[in-house]
Amino acid sequence: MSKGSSQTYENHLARFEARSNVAKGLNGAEDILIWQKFKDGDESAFVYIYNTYFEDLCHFGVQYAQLPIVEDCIQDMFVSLRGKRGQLPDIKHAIRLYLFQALKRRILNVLKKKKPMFSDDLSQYPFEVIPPHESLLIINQSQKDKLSRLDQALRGLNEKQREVVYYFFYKGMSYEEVQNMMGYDHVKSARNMVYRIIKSLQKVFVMVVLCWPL
Amino acid sequence: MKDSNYNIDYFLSNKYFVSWVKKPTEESDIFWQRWLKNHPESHEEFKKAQAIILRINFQGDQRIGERKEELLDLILRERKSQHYVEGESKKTLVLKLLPTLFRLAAACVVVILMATYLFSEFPVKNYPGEVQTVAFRTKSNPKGQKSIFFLPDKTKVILNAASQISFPEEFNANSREVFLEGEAFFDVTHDANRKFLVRSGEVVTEVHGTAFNVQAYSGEPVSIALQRGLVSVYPALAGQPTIPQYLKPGEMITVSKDFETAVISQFDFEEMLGWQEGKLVFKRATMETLIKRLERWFDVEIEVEGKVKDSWKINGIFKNENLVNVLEGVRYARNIDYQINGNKVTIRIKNNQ
Repeated sequence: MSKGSSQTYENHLARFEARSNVAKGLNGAEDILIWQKFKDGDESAFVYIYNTYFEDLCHFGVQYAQLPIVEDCIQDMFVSLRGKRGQLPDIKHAIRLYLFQALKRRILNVLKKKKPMFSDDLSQYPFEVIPPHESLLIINQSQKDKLSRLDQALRGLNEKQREVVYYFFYKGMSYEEVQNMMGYDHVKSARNMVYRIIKSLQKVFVMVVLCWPL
Repeated sequence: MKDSNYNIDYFLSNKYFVSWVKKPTEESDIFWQRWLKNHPESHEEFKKAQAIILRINFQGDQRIGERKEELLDLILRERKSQHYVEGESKKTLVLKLLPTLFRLAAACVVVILMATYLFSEFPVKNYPGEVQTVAFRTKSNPKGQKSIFFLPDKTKVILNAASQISFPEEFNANSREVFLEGEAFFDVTHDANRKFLVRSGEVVTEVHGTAFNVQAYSGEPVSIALQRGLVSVYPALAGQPTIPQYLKPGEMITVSKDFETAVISQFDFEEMLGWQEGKLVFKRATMETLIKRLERWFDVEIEVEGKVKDSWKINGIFKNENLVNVLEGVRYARNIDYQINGNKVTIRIKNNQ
């Protein structure tokens, strides 16, 4: 246990964070610049934003509703953003976060207006965690068992927890972004949520810990 | 240093680690590979955390991206979708009434259209000599066969088995009309000036630039499933009240006896549209449905021996499978026996069911 090495590591991480944010334009100068250009009426900035986030938004949306409905919402969202580009607020975080929040509101609104639907409609079970296609990693039965136990634990999470899993573990969002997506007042709530999820997967980890060759 | 801070929890709660596993960049790759080298004691936990994150996956949709260009085009032309909802609280009464007004207006349009249709037909009977004759073409598929072709306006049609479609060799200047018996999928070429109408049984489907499926086998309910765009559906008989039903993408309408009792519901894409890709899809299908579809698909006659319980249902997806394999599947799932004799099939329900 050495505090020293952990300290260095944190420093590393902070530097790495700063560099990679510049490189990816995450939360950083690039997003703010593009957003400003779009607000000033630059059409190519608008098209750039659309092209960059379209697939991401679709994938997020289909966690709530069928693709055609999601596509409609995305269409309306962009029409409306483009229509009132002058009055839009400046961006505090990433563009992606702003769009995700807007789309979530829109889809939930549309779903609320819809009549009750069939039981197999996605909106009844948002953010379903499904295992990826069997990968080469799976070599033997015992590994298979562990994976299926993990899948079970993931499926056992409640809706809010699954939503956080989507943002944090699947989309790689920061705690602050998770806070914003979930509408929490404090970042701390987002952190607690993630910790609680890790805790409830803990049981599985214990089994998995024994051997997990990659 | 052995049990340091770096356990699974540590990695899983680290945003940068998670981002790297999900979406490695050149830079994060270098960082974490180097990190691992410098912390060999954490190797195992590191790998476990990595495996767990890789296992986390969410439902997507294969069709994501297909409409990217099309939607951008609509957005740039400031077109809103049919689902458009403005901020509820700001809505004035007029705005609330708009959909109704729109419906009424649309109904008027349809009535006028039908009126002109009737009038244009009228002279045919009285002055046959003076009316220019339009040559009609008919495409039909026997059981067990599907076909793909294009209408004169380049609309793509996928015609299912045991189905028939008639259309003029050249569409006129005002509308495009086709007559369908059976099942077909249409991907309609956009033409703002000429409506596209599908007449099937007692139902007319009017199209507004769209891809959709019509199922209208005689003696069965007519169903129209919309993949994208917008269609309105209304009864073909001029005497009936003609307020059209609008379908949004992902919705289907089923008209059984009369139009008043038509049901709009969400449909399963695979079940309704899978046939185009050679997929025979059954979702909670009854024996009756199973038989009808197999008979059309494979051009056979099926007879059932034994009593079928009302609760009998079957699920299954068969892609480009032959009859034997499909029947084997049913046999396996529902404990039946079958016998194939030329194009006659006998299914025997075992009593213990």
